[in-house]
Amino acid sequence: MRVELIKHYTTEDVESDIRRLVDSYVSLDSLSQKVSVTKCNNPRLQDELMLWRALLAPHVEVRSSVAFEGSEKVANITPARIDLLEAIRRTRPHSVRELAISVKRNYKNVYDDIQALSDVGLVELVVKGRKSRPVCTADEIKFNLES
Amino acid sequence: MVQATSVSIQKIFVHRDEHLVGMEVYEGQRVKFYSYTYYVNMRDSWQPCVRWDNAEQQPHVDRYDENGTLIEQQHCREKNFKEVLKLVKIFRRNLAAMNLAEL
Repeated sequence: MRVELIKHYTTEDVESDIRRLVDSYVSLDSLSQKVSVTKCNNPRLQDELMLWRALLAPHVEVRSSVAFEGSEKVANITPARIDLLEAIRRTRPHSVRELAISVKRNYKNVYDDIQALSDVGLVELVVKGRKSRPVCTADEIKFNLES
Repeated sequence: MVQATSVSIQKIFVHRDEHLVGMEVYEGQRVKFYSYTYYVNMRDSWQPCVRWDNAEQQPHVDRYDENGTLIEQQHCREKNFKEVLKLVKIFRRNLAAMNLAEL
């Protein structure tokens, strides 16, 4: 079985990715220079450059997916955790505590669920100061029984 | 007429310590750029092992050593994600020792 986590970028996601690239490389020109110096020595840089150029195109569509083989990770996706994913998308909480309050559940249990979802790659914890903001990394989960 | 741009980024774990990252940039239906990189986790760091891409419109395959340094490059015909995934699943870490011209 293959489990695929899919994300379709929103305009906000595109802007946020461009901000990440600016933070990392300052400008498209400086990244371009780095790539021409390192040539094929750094595949990640080459991909970042191509991504950045594409993100600047008007109405760009980006589909990102992470897939893993095997069914053991599916056990991590319980109904309660799916409820949490929906709550994250709906309420956009600033912290795990805020999420626990919004779903009226015990903080420790929610924290453990978030860790489990993070292990599968469905949630990313964005650290800002002392808070960790849970962010949903996928908007579609696909189970493929044939692969 | 300006063709719509779209990007597809795919990461597939073929094993806990091995994954393939594919990136394709489309202009309309045409693939303008592709890269398919097979990464291996070594000493808690993901290092590229073999990569197929068409940078500067030159389809080629690159091989890297365990430190992620480029050690060999060969021209090859254009690839797609499905083909590369098949190669990666069959040969996995043996790709590092194979004749690049055959990939």
